[in-house]
Amino acid sequence: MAVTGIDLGKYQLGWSDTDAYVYKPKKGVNTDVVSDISHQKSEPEWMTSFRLNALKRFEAKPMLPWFAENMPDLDFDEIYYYIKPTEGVVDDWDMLPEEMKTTYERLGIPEAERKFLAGVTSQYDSEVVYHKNRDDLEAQGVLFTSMDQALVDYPDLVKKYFATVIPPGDNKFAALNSAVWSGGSFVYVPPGVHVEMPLQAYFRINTESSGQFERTLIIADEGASVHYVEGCSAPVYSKDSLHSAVVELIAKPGARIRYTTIQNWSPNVYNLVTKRARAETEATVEWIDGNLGSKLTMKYPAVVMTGPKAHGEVLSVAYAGRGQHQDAGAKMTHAAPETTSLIESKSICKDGGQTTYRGLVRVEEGAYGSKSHVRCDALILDDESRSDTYPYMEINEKDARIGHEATVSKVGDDQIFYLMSRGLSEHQATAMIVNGFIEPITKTLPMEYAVELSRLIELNMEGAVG
Amino acid sequence: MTASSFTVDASRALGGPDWLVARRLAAAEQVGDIEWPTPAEEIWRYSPIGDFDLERYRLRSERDRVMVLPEISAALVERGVIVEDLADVGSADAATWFGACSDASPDAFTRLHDAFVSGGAFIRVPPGVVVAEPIVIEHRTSGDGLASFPHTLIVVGEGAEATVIDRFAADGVGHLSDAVIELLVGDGAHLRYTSVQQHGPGVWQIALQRAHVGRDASLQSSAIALGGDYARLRTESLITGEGGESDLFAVYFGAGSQVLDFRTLQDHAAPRTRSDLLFKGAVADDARSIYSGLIRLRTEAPGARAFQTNRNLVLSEGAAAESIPNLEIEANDVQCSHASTVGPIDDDQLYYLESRGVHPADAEQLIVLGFFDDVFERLPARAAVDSVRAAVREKVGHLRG
Repeated sequence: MAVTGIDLGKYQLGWSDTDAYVYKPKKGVNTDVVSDISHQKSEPEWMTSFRLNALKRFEAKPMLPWFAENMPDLDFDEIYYYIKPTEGVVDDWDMLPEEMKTTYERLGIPEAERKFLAGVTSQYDSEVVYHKNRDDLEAQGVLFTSMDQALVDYPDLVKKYFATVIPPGDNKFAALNSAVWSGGSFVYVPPGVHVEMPLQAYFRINTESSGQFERTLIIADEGASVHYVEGCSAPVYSKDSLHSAVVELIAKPGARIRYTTIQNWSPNVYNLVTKRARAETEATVEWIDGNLGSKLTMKYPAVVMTGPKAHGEVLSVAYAGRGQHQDAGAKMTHAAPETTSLIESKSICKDGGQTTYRGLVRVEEGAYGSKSHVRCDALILDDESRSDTYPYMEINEKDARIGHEATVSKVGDDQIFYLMSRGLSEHQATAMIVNGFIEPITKTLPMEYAVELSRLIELNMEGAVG
Repeated sequence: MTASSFTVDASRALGGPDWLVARRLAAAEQVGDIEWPTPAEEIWRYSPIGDFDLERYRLRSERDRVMVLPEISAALVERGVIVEDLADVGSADAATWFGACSDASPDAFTRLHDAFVSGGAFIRVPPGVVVAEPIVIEHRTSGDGLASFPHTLIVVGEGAEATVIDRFAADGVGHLSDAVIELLVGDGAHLRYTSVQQHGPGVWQIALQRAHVGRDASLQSSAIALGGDYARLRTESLITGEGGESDLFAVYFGAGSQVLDFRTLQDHAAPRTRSDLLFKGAVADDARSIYSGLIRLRTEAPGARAFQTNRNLVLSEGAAAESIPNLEIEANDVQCSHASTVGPIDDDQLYYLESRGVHPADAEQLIVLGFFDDVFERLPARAAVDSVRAAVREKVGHLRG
């Protein structure tokens, strides 16, 4: 069955606020811009030189061909690298400029905070504008703050862990982030503490041609656990914006980190993010990754399992509509014995959208008894769209069991017929099948997010048929 | 550059029919421009191609090339079946077909091959003719530091059928076998093709096998790869006609410090086509295997079905297997899946056999042979199966339990 008559010009979060910025330098990136950012933030000397060093690496690194191929139009000189929206961080929504506050209300952040979040940080262009924790967090010794504030309040912790999982030279975009980073979250959970409610960060780009380069570092100390949720959106502009985050997770022995992203960038955002976790002995790290928005996403959350019996997981769902390319995947490195990993990826493409799964499972010599399972399923809803799968497996250990499976299919006529014969419309039937297809992922989300994800998918499917 | 053996004059001196000399000279003039690949190129990733240096090789003289072709019955000759050395085929017939497949997928090594190929097997089965008996070809070359360029060209006409077994055995320290195999399967034709590679330990093989499969035609291809220091085989199948089918199978077994390298392409360019692939391999000692495959379903291929399976057994600590089964799907009314596994021998199976008194080393060999059996079962010619199975058994027999 062909799915026809589609109108995807319905990105729902595409409004913009008038920009009344406190500080906005020139476009482009160079030593002056980088020094200026560091100066604006009154950073310690080591961070300034870290940034400048990273800038050198960014300039020296060539664009990898398989990256360049996906973004022929990206112009690094046409981006604002640092835009400071307000004078400081507030902990009361009413203290934000009116328009900004309305934006967050329309996005539903304050409401979610009241209902089920332990702490919220909200970033607007380059800086965190709102941050608040529930009182009990502090009582447990949990540190949750913006990355910039952490550099002021907990300099030793930051210096100890910052860029230890993703060094600035890791890749061109990690180098760029390291040079111009601003905002993001810092979380430290002390040994044995379980943060019951999720911590949330919300990232909003407002300015045309702007770049957002947040930097997040989460450390779960021995036996601790935390669930961190992030959401993203931006206005619809004719010029491209660039979002290039670096997210580092460190799960100490026995710790557990779950990191959930629901990315709904507007279709003019390049989303090029480096995310990597270190899972130590018997630790577990789960990346749950929903990619719905953006023009191009290239993101491969990674878990490096450095201690025995560590476990890594990536569950991802991607939707690519008109003009979108979701190039997402996962990277698992088994560097210790008896480590296990699971990758489950579901993708849907429609209206000429393109989905790509790109993944790597690597088992180092000596990582005996390791196991990994990879499953990728793609659903192609019309004959304009395209789906590619590039799974790499590098196995350097005899005693390791690695499996990969993938399927690509369309929505079956018989499935549609079955549901329609029970009284559903064609659109309802298709939406139900698609929601069933991504159910293994949605069921891992907090209920509110699961409902939101299903709703977003349904919205994108609207007008798909009849 | 020092006196290279790979010159235009050397190419001219190889002789042969006019069409072959002309084609070869045109290629030889370009040899200086060839850019040799590096492992940085995706299609050469994991390979030791960085060690390649053409100047280490010398061109083998025509006298050293040994190819054994069978005598075919007078009845088949009468019906127009040709089994000949390309070097002896003066007719325009071979000239029309030669390069039809390899020119569609060139790389540095097919260009080198084109410049110095001096002959090879040419099998032509005219439309409607069924050749029941397997046709067995042997390519044998030897010599330290020499480069050889085996070629097989099989043309199966409309509605015709043939079964071919193609054996490759090169020997010598630092010997290069740069082979090209072209399989043209016409509309409604059926070809069963098995290649068996038993090179000596000092040999590098870099080969391309490419098939073009027509409307309602079928190709069943199997590759048995046992020898070589570095042995690479690109196996490509382009289905050009509606309802065409391609089955690609392989068994590979690496030991010592061997590197066995497979790159496959199942390319669907017509509606309602089907392809299947099953590559099974085992690596022992410090051997490595690379499997990188792609299913490409083009927009012109609605109703296509394509499947791809790669299974690997890693038998010892130093061994390694890379597996990259890729999909590129541009059509939506399709069925496509792939699966790939890498793992050791199943402990339960070992335990079962050992508990029945089988020595651990023997048990491991039995399991490896059993692992390969579902590919052996699909080999077209029974006679070939027995010798292939014996060759695999002999190699597996060297395993230490």
